[in-house]
Amino acid sequence: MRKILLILLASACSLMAYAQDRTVTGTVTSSEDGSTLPGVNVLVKGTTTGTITDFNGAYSLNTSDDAVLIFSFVGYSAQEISVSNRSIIDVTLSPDVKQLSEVVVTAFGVEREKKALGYSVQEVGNEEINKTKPTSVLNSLQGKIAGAQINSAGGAPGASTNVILRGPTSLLGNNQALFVVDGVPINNSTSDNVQSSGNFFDNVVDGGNRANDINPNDIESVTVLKGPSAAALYGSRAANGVILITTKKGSNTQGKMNINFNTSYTLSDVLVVPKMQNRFGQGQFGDTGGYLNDQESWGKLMDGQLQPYGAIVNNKQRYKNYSARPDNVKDFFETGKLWQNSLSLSGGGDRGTYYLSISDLQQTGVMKNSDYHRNNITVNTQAKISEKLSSSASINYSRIKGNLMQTGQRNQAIGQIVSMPRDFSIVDMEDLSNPYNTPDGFFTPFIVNPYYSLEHDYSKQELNRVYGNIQLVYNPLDWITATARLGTDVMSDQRNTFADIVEYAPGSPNAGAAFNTDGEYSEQKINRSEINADLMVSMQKNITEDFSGTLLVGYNFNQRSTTNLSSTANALTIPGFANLSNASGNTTSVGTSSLRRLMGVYSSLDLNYKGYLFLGATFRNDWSSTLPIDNNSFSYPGVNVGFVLTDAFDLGISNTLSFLKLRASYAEVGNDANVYLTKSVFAQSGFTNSFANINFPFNDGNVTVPGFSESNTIGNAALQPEITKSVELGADFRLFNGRLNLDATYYDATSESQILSALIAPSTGFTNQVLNVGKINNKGVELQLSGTPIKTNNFTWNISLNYSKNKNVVKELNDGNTELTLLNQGLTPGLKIRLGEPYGVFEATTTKRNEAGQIIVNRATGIPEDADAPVYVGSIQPDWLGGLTSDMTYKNFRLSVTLDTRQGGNVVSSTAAQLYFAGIAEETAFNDREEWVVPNSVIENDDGSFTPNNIPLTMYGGNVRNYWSNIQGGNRNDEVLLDASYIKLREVSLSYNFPTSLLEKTPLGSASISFIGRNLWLHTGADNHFIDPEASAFGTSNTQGYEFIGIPSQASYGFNIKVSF
Amino acid sequence: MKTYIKSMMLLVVLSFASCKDQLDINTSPNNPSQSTPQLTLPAGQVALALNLEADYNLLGSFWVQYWTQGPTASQYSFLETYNITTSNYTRTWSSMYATCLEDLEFVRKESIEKGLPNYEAIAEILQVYSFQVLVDLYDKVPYFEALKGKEGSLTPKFDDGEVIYDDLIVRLDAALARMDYNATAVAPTSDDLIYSGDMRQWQKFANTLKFRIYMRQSEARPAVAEAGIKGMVAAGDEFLSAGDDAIINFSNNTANENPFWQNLNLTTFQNIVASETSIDVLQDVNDTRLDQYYDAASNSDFFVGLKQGTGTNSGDQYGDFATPHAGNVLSPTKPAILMSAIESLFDQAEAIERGWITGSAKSFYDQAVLASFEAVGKNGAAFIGAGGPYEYDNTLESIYHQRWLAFNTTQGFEAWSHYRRTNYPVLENSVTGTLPIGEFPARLVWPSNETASNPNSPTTLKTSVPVWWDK
Repeated sequence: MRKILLILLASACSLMAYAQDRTVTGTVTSSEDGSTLPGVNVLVKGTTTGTITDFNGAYSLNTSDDAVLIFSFVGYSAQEISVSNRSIIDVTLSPDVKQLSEVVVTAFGVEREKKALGYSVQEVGNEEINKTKPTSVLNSLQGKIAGAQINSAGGAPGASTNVILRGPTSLLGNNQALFVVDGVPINNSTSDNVQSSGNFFDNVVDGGNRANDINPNDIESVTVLKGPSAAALYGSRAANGVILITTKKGSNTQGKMNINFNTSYTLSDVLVVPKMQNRFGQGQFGDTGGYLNDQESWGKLMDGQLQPYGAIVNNKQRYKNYSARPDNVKDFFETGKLWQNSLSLSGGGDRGTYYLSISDLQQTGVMKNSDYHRNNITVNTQAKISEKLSSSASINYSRIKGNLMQTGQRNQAIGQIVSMPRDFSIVDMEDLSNPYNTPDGFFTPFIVNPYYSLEHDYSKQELNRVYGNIQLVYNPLDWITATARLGTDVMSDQRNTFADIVEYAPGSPNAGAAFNTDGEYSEQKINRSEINADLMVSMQKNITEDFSGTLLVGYNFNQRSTTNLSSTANALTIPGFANLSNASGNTTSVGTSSLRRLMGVYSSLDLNYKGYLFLGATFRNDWSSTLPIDNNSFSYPGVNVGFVLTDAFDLGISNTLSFLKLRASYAEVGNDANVYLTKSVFAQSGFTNSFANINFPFNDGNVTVPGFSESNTIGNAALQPEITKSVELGADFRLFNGRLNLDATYYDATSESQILSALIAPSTGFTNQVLNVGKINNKGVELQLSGTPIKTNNFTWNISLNYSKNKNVVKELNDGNTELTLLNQGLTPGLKIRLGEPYGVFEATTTKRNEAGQIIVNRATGIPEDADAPVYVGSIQPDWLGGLTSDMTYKNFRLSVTLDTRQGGNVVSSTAAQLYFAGIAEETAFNDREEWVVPNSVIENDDGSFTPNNIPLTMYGGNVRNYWSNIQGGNRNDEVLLDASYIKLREVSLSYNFPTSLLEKTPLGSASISFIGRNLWLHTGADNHFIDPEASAFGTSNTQGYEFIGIPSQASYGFNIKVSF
Repeated sequence: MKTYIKSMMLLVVLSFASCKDQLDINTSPNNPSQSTPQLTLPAGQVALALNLEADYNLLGSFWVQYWTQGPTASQYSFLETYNITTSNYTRTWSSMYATCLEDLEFVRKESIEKGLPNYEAIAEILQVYSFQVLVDLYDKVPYFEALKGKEGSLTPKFDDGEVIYDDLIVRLDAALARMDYNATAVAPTSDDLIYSGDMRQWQKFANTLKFRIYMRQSEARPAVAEAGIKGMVAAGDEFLSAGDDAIINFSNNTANENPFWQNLNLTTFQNIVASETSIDVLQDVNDTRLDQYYDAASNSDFFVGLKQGTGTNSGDQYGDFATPHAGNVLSPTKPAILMSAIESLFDQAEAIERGWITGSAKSFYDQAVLASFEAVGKNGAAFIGAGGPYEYDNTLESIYHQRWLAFNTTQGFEAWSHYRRTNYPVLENSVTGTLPIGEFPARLVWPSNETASNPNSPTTLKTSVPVWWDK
């Protein structure tokens, strides 16, 4: 309608200007790559005459000779061009860097102007993501997104990355953000390796999370939708926020093919090695000579004297100087290597665009026999089938093959490394043909040679994954768009884990060393598939001259299914033969599966008043299969307002305040339950007790009987969904014409009706009950400050800072419970959820003191006793998070630095506990290990009075050792609860862009080389000289805050070359 | 047009109807929603055996000083320091109630519904056995209101030990009355790991269990004990005799081995060495069972015990001390003994000696001691013969003494209960014990996983507070 009016007006005008009438035509192209730009506004200045460029970027306009034409397009700098008696005017528009960031991708892939949004989003572009060539896109976001806590679980290649936005919202459910690629949610699961015994820590392998499979080179941009307001349309799972990834699709290059090639090579070294004492070496009770087969460092002072060490093999014993090898642990680690190559072809014409890429990643770890290979192939195409119908298709294939690093408390190498006696060289143990390095000849009967484990044991992963979508877009009228989209994500993950038989000669003194001499082999296959179908209709209309609006209605279907099949040979016959037929007894097989479906209808209405007042409303209703069948529907609304003050009151003139926008929103998001919680079931019986493990079918030496026990969890036939309600207020300031920008957000989100498997009194016959009680609140601020302090012709300096502080409180639990246990694996300190405290509070045992504060010691040993009641100290929640990125550009050089900090929060370090136990921690050298009495200590008498304590702790009496080693056994375990604060130098990149003048004679269109570094420097809290606090033993699960002697994180550095043809 | 609208509406209605089917998929494919008494009875039995072997017999063996913490490890130091808190044995409590007792409760209820009186009787008897263990450990425990979680009773009150004991007798009598000995009656076969469905043996088990319950009250309610035992003997009840031991066997199969052995195997066997207390007593009279209860110290080939509770303060090596016998004790196939003929014989000897029933105390005493020697392949005739060190002298103390010696390696928990009841033998506090001299652990402390979720839990008591029958 509007078009017709315009044309009429235009004709009228042209009739009036009969004398100077002319038709001007031309093509508008982009200065970036020469592609034509459809949809560009061409306006005759001072009139309402105008048109827009067609799909080929061409326009045609009737105007007068002396008219001025204004060419404008979102994301590009507008141009004013006088007609000046010309009939053909071709225009090239340049992207407006400042304005480009004004367009963001929002829910369902809809691009919207940032100023129209009533909620907070943050976007990161392709170049920023790939600056230092991280293997995962998630790691590239560290330090850049306000309110995002992004932790890499460990230093192993392919390790998983944990992403929590604005604090945890679910007490026991999933807290990871939802990952969406091109409008379709994808699988971001991790899977644990099957455990043959009941003890979780026997073999811990991090198989990575699936969002880490995506090739960062294929990503056009990442938008972070931080809270319910932004993510509500995605429904369940969006309560934790959404990481929206848009991949490259190619562009209209008029048939020219763009070829981009990227290669990078980085080396990595261990970043942090625990601080160790270097004064006392192998031994016990301060004696070295009598304990030459010990694996702890409680011996005498190292004096440099030549002395025998190790086992007696063939009647010979070796000799060495009894002196410290301070770098023995550091020398053990190798330099990891990472080589990434990526080739992409893209382009397009009038009827479609395409983007193809293929990439290869090869990485070796810092320990022998650990590696990670990833191949990605991506094909994205878009096609215009007719004037009204267009389609797009995207298919991605990822293949991962890895030798994963094993950690844990069996024979895994890393645990043995950190507690080697201080006078031993570890690298000398590598040669397994050396008779002193074999299982029989190894110096100690308490541990296995770590190189033996690395050589003989492995955990292999082979993962194949295909994800993609096809989409049809139909425009029956120019104000209606109908979209049909079908996406799928299918994965097959094969894990083979092998622990070889450890053979000892009969009567070998070392026979007790191996955790399990019989070996073990398991094969596990995990299959997951996810299907998403969306049907949407969107209508865009100018309701009045001032008011325009968009109404979107849609239907969504989601299905997720998993099958997990494993078979384990619990003891092997032939050494070195990794096959299930090698089982010397039974093989145990376990097969489980799950299936869930969700259907939803949603709608959103966005109104725009005069371009400065924006109002949005969303509504969604879901039906989920995981809720009781007769009550499985739940709905949740949202509303948001954006008000651009500067446009409304014409304040934009001022140079100081060029833009000010206020935002306010309220939104609810519902979350359904995990599968199979609505009914009580039975399970094949299996019992554990400490390290013991009894499984059915049970063989008592005579008969084998099956057994099924009642599950310990009471299902809930009246289960309700969880709801998160969030209020968000924000302001966006642009000052000095964009030289200084500040975005501030305040949010208050409460998640209620939490689905808990609450602990109940075991005397009821059950230990857990699925309930809907629990409320958790997250309140906080996010600040993003960015500015350009210096901008000259040749030199630009951009700085951006982000800061976020989230206060998280557990407001309600179920009746009678004031706490829930988050961790059930017998670790100390334990981790709890407690009423009135932040999510994840540590329950620790502290030193027993009397009212005067004096330490009460055991009257026999002189060692401090444990306090009667546990204390609740520390939390896994940080106090605040921050990041700083500095970007300096001088001509063709660019230096970029990102720092990332987390302050507050705690972590339990098993490395620290192990180092106390083995006499390696710096603290254990207290008082030079000469006899000492615990300062300020007393003995408690039977009548309750106290006498000053003068029981000396001595090495020869064993009490000095017990003072420290008891900590690992759980006594006074608050000593291993460390401050998890850190500052990290996340990214450094120095790059040089070859100027086009240099490249004119070459086939290259552009080329750049950069020197890159990641995680180059770490600063930790005062009491933490042991580990990198970012490490986590539990991957992306809710039980963060534990480091279990994992692979240390690494600093990596190298170079990257990028060329395009 | 009308038909068009009609068919559209039909389509919409149909699609919503099928929507419901599409979403009705929340029944787990991984777990059955039902079980049978045949499948759940063995689970309940093994759960009970697990708790006895891995935890209760172990603490009993430490507290009657058969074993002590080894000098180079510290897994069980807490048993020597007597430092029992609310965080000890939480999982065992949970295993007793939520696994063992709940599974037996399912068998019992399901048997009532399906009309299987023998299954019902066995489940009832084992529940009584388990509750007695709990009362002996904790005195007051949830009983009448326990095991009703599915019916919504989530905070059961704690019942007095004395009251529970009375009800245990009532239940045993009911179970005995219910048993059907006809060859045609339905009874378990291989699913009963203890007696393979032999109801006569269950009858003897139930009678011996009643005897055990009565005898436990010998100091607190002697009249009740006497009347009960008298009544049983008068009725001609039979008790366990040779070959009737109630045991559950373990095997060498992975995850089917004795859990006590599994724990030591995966931590270290160096956690347990022989206690000087027991070694000295056995060596004093050259008791030949010594080399079947213990292995000699590997460094010296002598039987040297470590003073109870010394632990890592000794400064010595593990190899300096005798250790529990590898073949009989530290073995994956060590069986769990729930009740034995030996204890039944000692019980009868004691009842006679107390004058409650008639008979020859010496006869039962001799049988018991000989059986104990025989169980480890030795001949005890010389010891009980005239002039021998174990010759019966018509005192209760000699019965107590022999019982204490006989339960070494087999029934540590029962030994500890008898020790608390009779105050025999006289023991010294563990060297690192934190209780006042002369005070010993007399109970476990109610575990935090119960008290945190059950407001009806009593206020916590110290471990030295005796249970109701311990006078």
